[in-house]
Amino acid sequence: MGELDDYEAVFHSAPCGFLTTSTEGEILKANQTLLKLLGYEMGDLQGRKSFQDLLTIGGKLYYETHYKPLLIYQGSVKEINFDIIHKSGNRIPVLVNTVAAELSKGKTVFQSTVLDITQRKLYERELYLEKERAETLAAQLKNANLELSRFAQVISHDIKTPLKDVLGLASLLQSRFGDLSQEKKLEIIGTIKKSAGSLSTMVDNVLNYYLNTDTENLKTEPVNIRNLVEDVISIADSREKVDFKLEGDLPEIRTYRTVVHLILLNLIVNGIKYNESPNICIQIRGKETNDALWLEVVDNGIGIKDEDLDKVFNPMENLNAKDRFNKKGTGLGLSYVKIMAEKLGGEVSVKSKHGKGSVFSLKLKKFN
Amino acid sequence: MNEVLKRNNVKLLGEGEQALVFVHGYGCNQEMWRFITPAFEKNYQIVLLDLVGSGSSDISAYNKGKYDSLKGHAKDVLEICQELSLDKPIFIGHSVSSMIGLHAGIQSPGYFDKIIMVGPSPCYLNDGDYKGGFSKSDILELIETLESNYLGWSSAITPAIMGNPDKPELAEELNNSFCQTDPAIAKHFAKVTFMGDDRAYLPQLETETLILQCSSDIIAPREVGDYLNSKLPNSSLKVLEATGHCPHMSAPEETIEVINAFLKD
Repeated sequence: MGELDDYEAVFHSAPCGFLTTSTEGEILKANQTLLKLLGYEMGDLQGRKSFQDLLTIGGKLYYETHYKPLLIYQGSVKEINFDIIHKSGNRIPVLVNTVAAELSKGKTVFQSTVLDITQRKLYERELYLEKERAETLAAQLKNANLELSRFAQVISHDIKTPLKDVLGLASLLQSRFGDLSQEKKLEIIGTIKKSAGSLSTMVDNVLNYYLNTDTENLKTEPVNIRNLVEDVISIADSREKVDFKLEGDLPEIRTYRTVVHLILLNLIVNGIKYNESPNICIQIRGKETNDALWLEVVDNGIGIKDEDLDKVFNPMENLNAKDRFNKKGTGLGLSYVKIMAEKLGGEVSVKSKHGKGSVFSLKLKKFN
Repeated sequence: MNEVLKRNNVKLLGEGEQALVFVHGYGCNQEMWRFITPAFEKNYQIVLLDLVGSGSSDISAYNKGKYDSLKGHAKDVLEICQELSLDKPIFIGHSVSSMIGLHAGIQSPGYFDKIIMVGPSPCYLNDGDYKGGFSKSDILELIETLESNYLGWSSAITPAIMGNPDKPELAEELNNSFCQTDPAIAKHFAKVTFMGDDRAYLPQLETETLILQCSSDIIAPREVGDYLNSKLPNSSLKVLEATGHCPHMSAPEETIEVINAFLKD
């Protein structure tokens, strides 16, 4: 066997595909390895097909917009991943390296190696999917963390108000212990106990609820909404003289007590805090339907500017509104109201007129 | 350097008075013009730029809202021309940038002396009697191909793979590719380019326009050239012998000759 025959044999049996095309892509030569990979005979391709013809449409576009410009510009390209189409129509992922080679006649051809990467591609896809999965999980974790830290802020904020009352009453008791009548003292102690007791329950339930981020781990129970509202009112803000009005249906429904308690506390405290009226009035109106209880918390507070209405439920948007103690809000309460309302299968919305007051509508799903 | 010029990595060459503003097409950067610009350096000022999101443009300026239509890029081109105080420049756009030229010409009527469109298409999707050459699923397949190709060939993953602080030149070498684009931007730009439809704007372009078509171009078939020529009010069509989508790279001599003939007209 002569040297040339040796060369031919090596060319055809090489462990990768060899392809020579014109600069237009017309197939001039291909080795047996490539032909076998493609399922074609040399006669099917030589002078009849171009390299582009073997590509998917996406691949053809990629060929024109990336591969060929690169090849002309750099004289070579490496590691281009195309899907080439087997005679049967199946797609085979391949890795193509190409050089632009000048032949003796001054004519340039493109010479490529074509490597079947079916196995590697599967592995690559697997990796890619894993990466996407990991990214999604990381994003979820980040959100959960953020949610938790915001929640901690809201809770400490919500707990502080009744706690201040407990402290205030205790100080009162201490400083005026001698002046106060026995009944008055007992009344104050009673109020302290009640506030502290409901705070303690709230903390326990809240911890329980947020240690298990899903409502799945919390049990629904029959909740008498009228009693719950009264309970909330009792700890909402005792320093202000507030005219509370309870109207409409306030029945017993099955829901998550702690969560509803927190939501109502937030809405009612907001109605009092963001209120400059000398006579604060908060109405709680209920309307029962087949599957839900709609509650409206109506206040005569400072209201919300039109441009801010979309933002009130966004975390950290505190809208620069000052409360009646001239403090800016934390911007956390309402975002939590929304999250929690949605977690228990309901929703919350607001209508407001700046300077007149706001109406928060809360839908509570009735669980079976 | 001025913000606008920096944003689009503007490069100036040439000794002439009148400016030729070269705007590259999808997938590449201003380097693609290097095979033909030397022929014009003597008689023209050459303005090269990278579209925001491509080449060495300021990637951080890529705003999906602004660049959701080619009008955003057209605005950039006009800003560059203004910044350079170009008088009656000539616009040369390849592929998608032909339509950027269309929008720039409409946004600023009479400003461009002439417009040259290399391998243009106002709409890549087939639509009734109009044959853009592609179906929606074809374009989605391109985007898929792009995505899968960036898996193996990505500027975004090379820093991680090549993460070798002792040898930054390694990453540099891989990154410094002519067609390098941020994968997310490449995908978005592909959508804007191939899903867009600028046919309705064609009758509004008053500027004298040359349509340069290749004799066999999968991206911009002959019918599309004829369509453009029939809808543009002031155009002529020249079909090159060259094939493919980048005649200024694969057949620079022929491209230069045809452009010169049009400019001297």
